[in-house]
Amino acid sequence: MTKPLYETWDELEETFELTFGKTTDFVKVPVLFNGRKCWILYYSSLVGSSELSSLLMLPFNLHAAKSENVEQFRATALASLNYMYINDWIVIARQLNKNSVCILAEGEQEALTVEIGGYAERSISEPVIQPSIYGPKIAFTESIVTNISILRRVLRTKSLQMESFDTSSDMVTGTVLVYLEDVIEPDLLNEAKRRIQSLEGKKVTTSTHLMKELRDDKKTNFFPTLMVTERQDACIAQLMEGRAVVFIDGSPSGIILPAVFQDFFRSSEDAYLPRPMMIFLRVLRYCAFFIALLLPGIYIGVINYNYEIIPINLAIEIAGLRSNLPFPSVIELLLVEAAFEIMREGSIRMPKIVGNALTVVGALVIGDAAVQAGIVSIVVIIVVAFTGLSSYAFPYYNFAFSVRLLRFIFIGVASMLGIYGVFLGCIILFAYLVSQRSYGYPYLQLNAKRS
Amino acid sequence: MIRKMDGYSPLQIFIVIFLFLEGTAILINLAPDLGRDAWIATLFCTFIGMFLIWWFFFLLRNTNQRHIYAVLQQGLGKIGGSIVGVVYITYFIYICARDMRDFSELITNAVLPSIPLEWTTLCFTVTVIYVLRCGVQNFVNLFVLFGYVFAAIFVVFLVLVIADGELDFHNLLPIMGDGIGPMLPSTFTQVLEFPFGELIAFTAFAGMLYPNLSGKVMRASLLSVLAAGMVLTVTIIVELVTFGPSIRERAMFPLVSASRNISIGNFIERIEMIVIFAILLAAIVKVCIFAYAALQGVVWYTGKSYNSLIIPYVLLTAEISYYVSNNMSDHIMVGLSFVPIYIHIPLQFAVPAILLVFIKMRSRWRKRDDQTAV
Repeated sequence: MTKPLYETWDELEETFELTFGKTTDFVKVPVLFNGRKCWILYYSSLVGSSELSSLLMLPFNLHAAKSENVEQFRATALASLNYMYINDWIVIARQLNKNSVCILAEGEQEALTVEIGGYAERSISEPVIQPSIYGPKIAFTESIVTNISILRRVLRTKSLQMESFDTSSDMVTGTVLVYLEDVIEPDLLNEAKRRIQSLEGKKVTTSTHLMKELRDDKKTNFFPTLMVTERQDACIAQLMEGRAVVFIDGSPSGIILPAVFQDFFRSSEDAYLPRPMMIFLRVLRYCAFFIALLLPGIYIGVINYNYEIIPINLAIEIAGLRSNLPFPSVIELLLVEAAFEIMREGSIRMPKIVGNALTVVGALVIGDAAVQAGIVSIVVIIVVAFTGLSSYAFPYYNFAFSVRLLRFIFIGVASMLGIYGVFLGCIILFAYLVSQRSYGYPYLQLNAKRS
Repeated sequence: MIRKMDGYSPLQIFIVIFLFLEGTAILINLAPDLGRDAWIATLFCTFIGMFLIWWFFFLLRNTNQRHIYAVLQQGLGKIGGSIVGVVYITYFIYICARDMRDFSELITNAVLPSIPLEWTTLCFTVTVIYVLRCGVQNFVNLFVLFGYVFAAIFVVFLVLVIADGELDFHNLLPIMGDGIGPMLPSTFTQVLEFPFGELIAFTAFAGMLYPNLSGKVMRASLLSVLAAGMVLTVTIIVELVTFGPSIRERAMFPLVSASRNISIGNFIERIEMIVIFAILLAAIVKVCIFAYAALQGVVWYTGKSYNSLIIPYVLLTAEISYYVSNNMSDHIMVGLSFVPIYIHIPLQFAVPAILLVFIKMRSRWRKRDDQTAV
């Protein structure tokens, strides 16, 4: 059926070079196995030397001489290790890329691969992006095995199932789909599997790239239809609700699919709070959402077209403040918004220590100097600051992006049509949200039961 | 727990019919000729409206057809049915244009006096096109959301009106001072036909959403008409008690004026923007339902795809809405004198009644034929 691994023993060195190339971290060691010639192959970058010596070399020295064939040696000396017998060089190469060591003895038709591993990994640390007060102080790491162990330590049930997508296919990076067998809907599971399998040969290596490939409708996605979390309790809560989690090697986060609009207003922290508090926080987040989205637009609309709807004293105050300003209100607002967005972007990229200085300088220059110089009015500063503050209120970082972007559209619409434009914009926005789907689930769950 | 979308629920038809009836009826001056008795007429018509929706749905159910265009063909034959069907499509587009005009006039009068009518109409049209393009399942769900917002705003409005306290219930007296006789013609032409008679638009597609138009769906529809009639009645009472029948008679948009009057503690003032938002939601529903009803007919007759027809037909509607009348008073005058008698009566009452008779007679003939054949 398949080609044998070798015709004659001596041609093997050529085969190695053909299969593995000239990479320097590929190690091939000729040894003697009970008097027979034998090759041990592995990548030195994927197999730790101490693990190699304790798990493989020490048993080899003790037992190899007593064993008649490789299987007997494996069964007595390497009994605890994950193994595979392979008669295809491509599969061997794939296994070696998954932290394995290959043992090929003369006279055997199949090569034995055993998983050793043992490269350096970051240890488990506290969540940084999504800290919590009462929740577990445990965050996912870059290793899939560690992440799954973190999950199974809490969900100790056989219905916690996972499927790896790198053994069978050509995906370069290990990807694992985790789900609770008895809760998840079969349609969702099949769809998730289909989408992950379709990534074959695309060389997806990071979680952001994976998210881009897994989500629905790739062009016009204003709102995230997948959730990324580094928290164990968030992941477990989602699994229990019948969703699936995807991990990819090398990225310290789980991708939860599907995600709907309401999910982005729920923090994993909520589960530790009494119910009234939780409802209060949810309402607060929804308010923050609408403020972050609409406040600048409403301000522009009111100032330019419908100033009669604000109480008279406030209107006089605002008009007084704006009386000597050189710019129209839209330009003024856009200037301050631009300054704020640049400041925000800058403070993320900067090292932490400089970042603080930047915000102080930014706040001083923009806030104080611009007002004193009479370029912008203080009302605009208040509006932008309040908007910016509100956009930090979401538990999920990627959700805030969409709000930031849409805000500018609302400013544009309001500058042309006033409050009426904001109303129409809202209707179009919600029509868009209602027609969105995430893995076949409606993005806006209007008839959903309360969870 | 997240859920997939499951079919159409009775709640959806409840909210859609409710918002459809509120539509522009809550906005414009309903039954101005009736003065202080407008609310009684509305209350009275609510019950007739419940009968109407039952009757319209009965027409679909009894003939086992999905929409009125098929019913027309069954009742009037292929050619006659098609001609009347095209008349119905034109009617839906015309009423849709009139409603669009109502709302655009509100915007130019009350919200954006500096912006020309063309521009507000165009923006409204773009929104309607977008909503229609989402597909019927999605926009029905969107309307459910609208329903919640509308209800919330209406409750807030009522609370504020009561809290404001400037209510004079003597404005309602005497109730039916002139007796019931003089009320009847205006009740029929100004309240029953608009908004309740316009429920005929639902016959163009309700059978496609709900294959079974009896039981829960029927009950939801009847309750919805009842609720919508109650809300309209309450609105008219509020308008009457805040500024009396004589001012209401002259007001172009009495509800907006009533909300403008509210002032609580010199802080909550001029809440008309929120009320206009609620009216906007209902107006979108009404315009979308009429446009969808017309589009369904076009789709059925021409066989073209729904999505390709939306933009030309809605733009055409917008065009008609701009040229339908010269100004607002002209518009209202036509709406009160011409449309009810020459357009509403034949298409809302006469044709369905004739259809019912024709279909009954045909089935009886067929039965008799069958019997004689046996």
